[in-house]
Amino acid sequence: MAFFNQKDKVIECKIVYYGPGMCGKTTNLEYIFRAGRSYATTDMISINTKGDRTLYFDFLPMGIGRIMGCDVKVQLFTVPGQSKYRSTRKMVLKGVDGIVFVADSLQIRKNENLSSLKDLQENLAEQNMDLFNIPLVFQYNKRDLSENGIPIMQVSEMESYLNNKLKVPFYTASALKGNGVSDTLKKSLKLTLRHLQHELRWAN
Amino acid sequence: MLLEDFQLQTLINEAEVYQSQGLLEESKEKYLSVLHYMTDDNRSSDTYKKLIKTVNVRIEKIEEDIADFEKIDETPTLSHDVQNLIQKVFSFSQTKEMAEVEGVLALAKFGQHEQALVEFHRLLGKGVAPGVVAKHILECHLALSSSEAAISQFNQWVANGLLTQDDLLDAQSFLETVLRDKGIETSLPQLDHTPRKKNRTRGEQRLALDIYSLKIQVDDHSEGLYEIDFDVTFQSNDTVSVVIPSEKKTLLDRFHLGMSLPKIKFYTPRAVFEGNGIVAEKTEIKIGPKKGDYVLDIKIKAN
Ligand SMILES: Nc1nc2c(ncn2[C@@H]2O[C@H](COP(=O)(O)OP(=O)(O)O)[C@@H](O)[C@H]2O)c(=O)[nH]1
Ligand SMILES: [Mg+2]
Repeated sequence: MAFFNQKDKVIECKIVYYGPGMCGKTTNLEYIFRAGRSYATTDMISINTKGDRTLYFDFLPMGIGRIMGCDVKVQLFTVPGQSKYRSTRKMVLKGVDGIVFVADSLQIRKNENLSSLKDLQENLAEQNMDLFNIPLVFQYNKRDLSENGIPIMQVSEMESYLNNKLKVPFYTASALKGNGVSDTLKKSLKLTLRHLQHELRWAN
Repeated sequence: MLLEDFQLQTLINEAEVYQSQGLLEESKEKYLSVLHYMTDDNRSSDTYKKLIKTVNVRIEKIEEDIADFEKIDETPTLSHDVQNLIQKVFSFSQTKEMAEVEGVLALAKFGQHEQALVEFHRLLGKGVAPGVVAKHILECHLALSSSEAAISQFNQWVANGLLTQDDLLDAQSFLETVLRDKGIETSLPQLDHTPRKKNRTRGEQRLALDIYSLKIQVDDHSEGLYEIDFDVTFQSNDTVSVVIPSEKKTLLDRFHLGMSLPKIKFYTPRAVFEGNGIVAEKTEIKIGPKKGDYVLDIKIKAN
């Protein structure tokens, strides 16, 4: 549920980075913050435990500028990925407008990607939202690790077990290096705003 | 032998990368498979003996890290800035008062019960949704595992008259249920069970409200037609409530029971729409910080 101020023509939406623990969600936001500092409206806020593991969320608010007569603001969030933090993920998902699902390309994390996607679907359903109906983008992250001789999944393999029913846009990425990070975000913003434009009819 | 070295090297490489990625279980497993991989013949060679020792040390370190992560404080007290941020970004209702309640509730959900208590008391002091807020206050005490504090808070409310009889009864039945579930025996004060007005039990209101403000046309004989904005304080089904402060006596007098209100503009997050309404109730607030103000219930009629 985006916030739409009709009088001042301000629209504020929320995009959540979801995915299993350690797949690179926080790394995405850190890169966005470094590379897009001019868009950030405050510092990035991370609520971590020791070892930089996300405990509650990361938060990065950005101003995108005017789009179709409206001042567009976006709040980027990440969730903690470990399965035990489910109730926190539910909190962070409240009022979400768009999702970036970061999947770990590591072969060894194959099952974790799938459980996290199922967890997302269930948590959305609990707030009457449908995974098939929300602006969603996949990011297949850590592609660079193949260079180190680490087994990663082929893109076709990831597409077929994660995205064959959803059929949403996907990007390959190496968030640590920044590859694919801004493409993912731009696509997500585009889908989210198009969805909201339709829902809120803000550009009437 | 060469092939074996290569395969061991691959396993160690994987284990190291997983460790650096924070994938501790995965890393540990790879190190363990390094140990399994070694055959009994090669275990005795000096190089392998050294390798086994190194791997064992690394496994120990990983196990320590895993144990450390299991020990972390899952609900640390956050800084004031972060607490404020949480209140701000986790309130979605367009109604100011309900948004405030949601924000403080988020604090509680993120384990900041102490601060949530402070904030809920502030809201109660302002007369914001007393029935709802009172229950959350009790919940916070109970989450801090302090049943005594919850009980003594309830007793205070009975004595100080900050809550209406309806809200007190709600709070009491809530507290009784929770305490009973916890197996705690107490007798809360006997309350007077006067007939309850069912339509104003605010404890049952949903937090997510759609209409956050109204523009009502008022026909003033001297000034002609003009419009006034109201913030919606509550909404249930097809009825919205607005508060008129006691100072605005003339405004108040313009509204009487059963009066039709044409062309009201209803502001929702999604759109503004127009409709008619009827004044369904006009009640003076008898208790709390808004004592003397009036609540106007407007029943919305479909066009
Ligand atoms: N090699 C590599 N490492 C990455 C990449 N993205 C994230 N990481 C690492 O993976 C670990 C976990 O990343 P983090 O962003 O904290 O994961 P989160 O739990 O999803 O927030 C960190 O050590 C990152 O440096 C990537 O694209 N390539
Ligand atoms: Mg993280």
